[in-house]
Amino acid sequence: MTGEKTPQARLIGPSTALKQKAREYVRFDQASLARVEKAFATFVQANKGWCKTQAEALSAAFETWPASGSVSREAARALFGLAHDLRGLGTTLGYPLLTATCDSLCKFLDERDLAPDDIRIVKLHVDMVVLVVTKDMQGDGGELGRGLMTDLRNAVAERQGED
Amino acid sequence: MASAPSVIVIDAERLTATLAGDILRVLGFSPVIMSYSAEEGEGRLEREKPDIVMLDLECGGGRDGLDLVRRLRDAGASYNPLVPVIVMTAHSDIERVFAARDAGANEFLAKPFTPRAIFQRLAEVVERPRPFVVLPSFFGPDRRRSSRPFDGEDKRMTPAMPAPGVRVGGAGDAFLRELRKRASEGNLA
Repeated sequence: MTGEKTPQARLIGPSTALKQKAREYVRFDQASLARVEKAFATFVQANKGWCKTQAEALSAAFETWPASGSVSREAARALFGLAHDLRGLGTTLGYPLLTATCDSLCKFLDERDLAPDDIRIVKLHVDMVVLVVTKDMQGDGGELGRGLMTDLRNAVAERQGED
Repeated sequence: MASAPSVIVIDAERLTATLAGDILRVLGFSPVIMSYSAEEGEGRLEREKPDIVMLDLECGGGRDGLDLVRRLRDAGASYNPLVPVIVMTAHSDIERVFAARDAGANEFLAKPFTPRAIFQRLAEVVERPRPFVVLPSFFGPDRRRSSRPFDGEDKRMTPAMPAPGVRVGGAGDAFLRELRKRASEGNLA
């Protein structure tokens, strides 16, 4: 610490213009929250099939990868994009295991240029995603889901330990 | 004639954007502008000047959403440097939260979000607006949510990240002049 003082902060506002503008149109009370929760539930019901479609797209994207050798950045980015979307909406649509699996996959893809040995780890993630939707493993997936998630995390940690 | 407050949602993931849009319309915001890439969103920000901005940090088109936040806070480039910005992201890393805060975001909404979480973030920016702080290294909402006395010490727990394009030199004087000019033109929210 040098003991020097940082410059004096200046404050602007706060502006109440937005609050005034919203007054006649937007209310933040219990009735509004109930309407929001109803809209959310309607959305979830209407989009139950999205996870299956997205999981199929993820699997199809992975199938284009070479069985061995290096994976192009474009191919890795395409898989990341699909996993990123599943991560964002999995839990919302009733599949927290999808969010957890895709979070792990995104971090794995984000952290490295893929070596041939990494493809096996990516495949474990893709298989897990497909399994979760085909077996309709909602919530934490019960004993099977929890066990598979532990195995997946162990496999990732083991691979990372090899580097 | 009075009109409802408008919102733009910028998110490359269309289904998430749809969900956010549904909730915003139910709450009474109008229009709710949907944009699926940073480039498209940037154009619509300038044209439609929404009252609130909700954007994903991975908003598509190869650009980081943080760049958009910094541009919104840039008095020389933004239609309203004080516009409330709620950032959404599936990245819940603390570094991303700090980066969004240091870029000048008002609120942070981690995905997957719940109905209550999005409701609360919107309530914060509409019902409980915070003053903006002008420092050479930072321009954005006051990070303190309580009203304890503050004598000018920089109490941030982490160093501010550089904010390219945010012209707040001279202890913010030029920036304040720009803001006052805009305010006199009725060009601020």
